[in-house]
Amino acid sequence: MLTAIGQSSAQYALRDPDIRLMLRVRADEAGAFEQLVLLFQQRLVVIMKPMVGSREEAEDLAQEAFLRVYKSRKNYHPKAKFSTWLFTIANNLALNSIRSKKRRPQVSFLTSESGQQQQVGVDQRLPEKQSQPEIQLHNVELADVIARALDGLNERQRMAVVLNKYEDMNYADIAVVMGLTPKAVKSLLSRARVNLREVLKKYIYMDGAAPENCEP
Amino acid sequence: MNEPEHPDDSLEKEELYSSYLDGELTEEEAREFEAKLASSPEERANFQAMKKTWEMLDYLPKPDVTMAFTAKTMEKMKALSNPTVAIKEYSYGDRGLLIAAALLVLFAGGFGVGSLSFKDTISVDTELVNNLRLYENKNLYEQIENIEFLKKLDAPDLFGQEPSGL
Repeated sequence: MLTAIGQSSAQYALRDPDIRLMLRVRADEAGAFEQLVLLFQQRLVVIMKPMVGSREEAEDLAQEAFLRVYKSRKNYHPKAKFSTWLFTIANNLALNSIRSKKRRPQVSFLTSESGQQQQVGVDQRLPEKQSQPEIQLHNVELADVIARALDGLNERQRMAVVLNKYEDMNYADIAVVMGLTPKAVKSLLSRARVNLREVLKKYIYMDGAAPENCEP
Repeated sequence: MNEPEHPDDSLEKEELYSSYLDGELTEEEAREFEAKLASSPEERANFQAMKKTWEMLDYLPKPDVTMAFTAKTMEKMKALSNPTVAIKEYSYGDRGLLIAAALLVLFAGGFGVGSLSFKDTISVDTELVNNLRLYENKNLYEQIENIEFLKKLDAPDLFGQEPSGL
């Protein structure tokens, strides 16, 4: 199989087992596509969920990403890591979905991790600055606060954050996925961190005393 | 009294914190940054706050994929590669709906073809009226082999002048 895909592609394939699996999908080998889905489904849904807000929608988009991979399998020529290609498709699908939602009324459905769906206006997404956090805030509630903080970032910052945090991608790989320069990714991630720190600063040291000179 | 910080300096500083956390600094840059942190409690506190914020994202539970996800994806993939598979998997209720839809399409198609035929009939009738004289002499015209023969028939020396009054 490797001789049939060209020398540089073969080198990629030798390095990346995911590419070898995708080449088996391209060759219509029985069971290869299912193996690919099983390997990446969890990772795709984890990336999509903070982008679109609900697990159902995240699964729909992840499924669409897999179907696009399958449809374009015959044109697949490895030029980078397979996961980079897959997440590029996922990024485009997520951004398209968010943009089409923006054309509809500005109401967001945030699904809390406890499973309850709440309907909130955009201006209600972030925790109020005046309120003091409960000392014993439950982890589930804290997760809701963090989810809202993440939801408050713009979609490009959010995508950069989830790729960096959950896929452990470096700036160069994130840049490929998002069609940006590594410098732009650095800037996006830095701004995202500053924004998150602003929103979450009241909750940062809930598990222990704040260090000296640190604003609570 | 400290000078107020320029916004660009602040931005640069935040980018430095971020790059350090992501392991994107060179060894030398990282060493410089660590020395700066060691000498400034204020910077250390800001950096710690950013680091803690990032760690808070670990509180977010990662969603599990539903049990049916793989099966549903494979089903759609099979439907893509062989559209007839999708029809085979329909329930009896769905099949009834499909048959009804097919009948509707056939009926609509039949109506379409019928209306087209009707339009064709109208257009043929109009043509017949407009070229009635041509059709009346069709048998005569069929005797003429080509246009040259017709022109020769028009030559005066062939038939001469018709007597007037006929």
